[in-house]
Formats: sequence, C-alpha cells, structure tokens
Amino acid sequence: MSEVIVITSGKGGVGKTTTAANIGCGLAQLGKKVVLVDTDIGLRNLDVVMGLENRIVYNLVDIIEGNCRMKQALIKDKHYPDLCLLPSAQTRDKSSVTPEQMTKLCEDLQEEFDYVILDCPAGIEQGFKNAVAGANRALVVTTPEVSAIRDADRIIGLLEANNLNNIQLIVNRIRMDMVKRGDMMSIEDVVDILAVDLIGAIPDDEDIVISTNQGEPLVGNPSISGQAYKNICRRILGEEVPILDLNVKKSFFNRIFKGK
Amino acid sequence: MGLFSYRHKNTGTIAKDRLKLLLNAERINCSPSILIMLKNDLVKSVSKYIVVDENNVSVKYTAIPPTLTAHIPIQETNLINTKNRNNRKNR
Repeated sequence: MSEVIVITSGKGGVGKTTTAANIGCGLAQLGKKVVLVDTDIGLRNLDVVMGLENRIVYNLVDIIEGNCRMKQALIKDKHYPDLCLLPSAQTRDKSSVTPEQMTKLCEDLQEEFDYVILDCPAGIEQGFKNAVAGANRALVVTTPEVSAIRDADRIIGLLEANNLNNIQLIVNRIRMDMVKRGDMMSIEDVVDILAVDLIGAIPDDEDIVISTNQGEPLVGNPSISGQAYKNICRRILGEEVPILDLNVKKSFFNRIFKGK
Repeated sequence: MGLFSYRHKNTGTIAKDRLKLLLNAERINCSPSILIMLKNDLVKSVSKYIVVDENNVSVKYTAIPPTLTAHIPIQETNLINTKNRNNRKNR
C-alpha cells in the first residue's frame, strides 16, 4: 500500500527540506521505492540538498501542463536507484498548480512508488493547500522555539480541518545541553503543548550543515542525527524503535576525535 | 550579583508557559488576556460557594470535540467536611 506523506511546518527554516531529503534517502535505504516531490514552486531547494541540481530538465509544472511525461521529469538519485526526485519549477509561482492537479499527480506517483514524500513550502497559503491536498499522512517539523511551535499548532489545526488526521511530530534542532540547563523546552514539553504523537527528534548537529554543503543526506551514517533520521524512517514503516538518547552527542570519543 | 541571583526562572519554562496560554487563546480565537479574565471570573464565582485552591486553577481548550475545560481544585478542608457528611449519612 502506497503512502503520500507531506512534510510541513508553517514556519520557514525549521528543516522541512533537510528532513524530506533524509527521510526519502532513509526509506530508500530500507528497500522502498520512493519519490521526493518538491512542491515549493518558485523557491525550489530539495534539488540542491539532494545534490541533483545539475540534472534538472523538466519539473512538476511541466508534468501538470503536459509538456512532458511523468518519467521524463523524475531524476534518479546518485546512490539509490529506487529513489527519485521530482523538482519544482523555479520560474513559476504557486498559482500554476491547483490542489486537484496535485491530488491527481500524487495518485499517478502512487502507482509507481511505495512512498511519495512531499516537501511543503512555508506558510499557509496556496502552496500549503496544494501540498496537503493529495497527502494521507503528515509529518510536522518544529524546533523548540516559541515561534516555530506556535506555527506548528496552527498547521496542525489546518491539517485537521482538511481531514488529514494522521499527523506526527518531528522535533528538530534540539540541544540537550540547553534543555538540561532549563533554557530550552524539552521534547516532552513540545509534545505536551502540541498534543500530537512524536515520531522522532533530531539534535542540533553540525554534521547536518556539512552534509547539506555536499548535497549528500546523512541518514544512516553513524552520526547521531544520521541515526535519528534512520529511526524515524523505521517508525514510518511501522517498526517500534525506542527514542534515541540524544545525550550521547558529546561523548568522550566524540570530543577526542573532533578535538572539542 | 553572583551566580545565584541572576535568574529567577528557567527560560525554557517561561517559553512553555507563554506558549500554553497563547495557543489556548488562539484555538478559541480570543486573546490571552481574555482567557485570564475568564479564569479569574470563574474563580470569583465558584469561590462564593466553595473555597477553591486559587493557585492551581487552569482553563484549557481542546479541539476535538471543541471543549473548554476548567480544572478547579477545591481546598482540602472542604473535602474533609464532605467526607464527614457522607459518613453521617451512612450511619
């Protein structure tokens, strides 16, 4: 059974695109056929995070307008043959696509892939409405900050209003040292405030910046965030994986090897 | 000022409390100050009849189904009275 998952947040810059890239790669590592769809028309970014920016010929709007066949616009990943990217258009705007067209596109993609991952734009306007139209599951990304949590709450309300009730939460950029000091809301605090199920937490990790610089998602590698993303992928598949202890980040070995 | 006096409360807790109040208010489309006024009014009205534990009163909103829930703990002394009354009835 094929699933369409939208990665959304409301607020910009909380890590939707990075999360989408890593979840897409992670699911491909676990043997699933995955397509990553960048729905941010006019501000595409998933292509650079995936390191596929030089291979774009056609895009999402081209498929919808009938300028090309679906297969022509799909870009195969460098490492995983079962992972594809459908880039968005850079020179168009959100009104080029309607929610009905997106729903139809998602249905077509579902025939070819086990997972359709939609990277949603920030905001609650047309772009958001398009992205959620075809989805049957939502992952809401937030950070432990008041602004991001407030927007996440609003997004959860809008998702529910759209009859999308399969919603899970990803708490991104958590800093356990600050939580311990009492200067950052804990994962439990965020879950308590938003009252949705947690599917995983990602620490604030410089390895993510390094991996994005190179256009290589880090899911599955031994870094703490690589493991955290892999665990989220397993949970998406329905496996019971205990929440990773993020405190191990500044372990003795890490400090020595990284010279911190 | 030294190590101990520099902060009264952890900023994480401040953030959590602010958010809780704000989101509760936004979910029912009214401002946090109105929610505080509602809470104070509730305490005032209920206090006419029962002694309530004012510091632990909370007003919460949940979305499905849309419900406003007031949690109003009653002072221990009142509870003992009720117990005695029940005991007397049983006898």
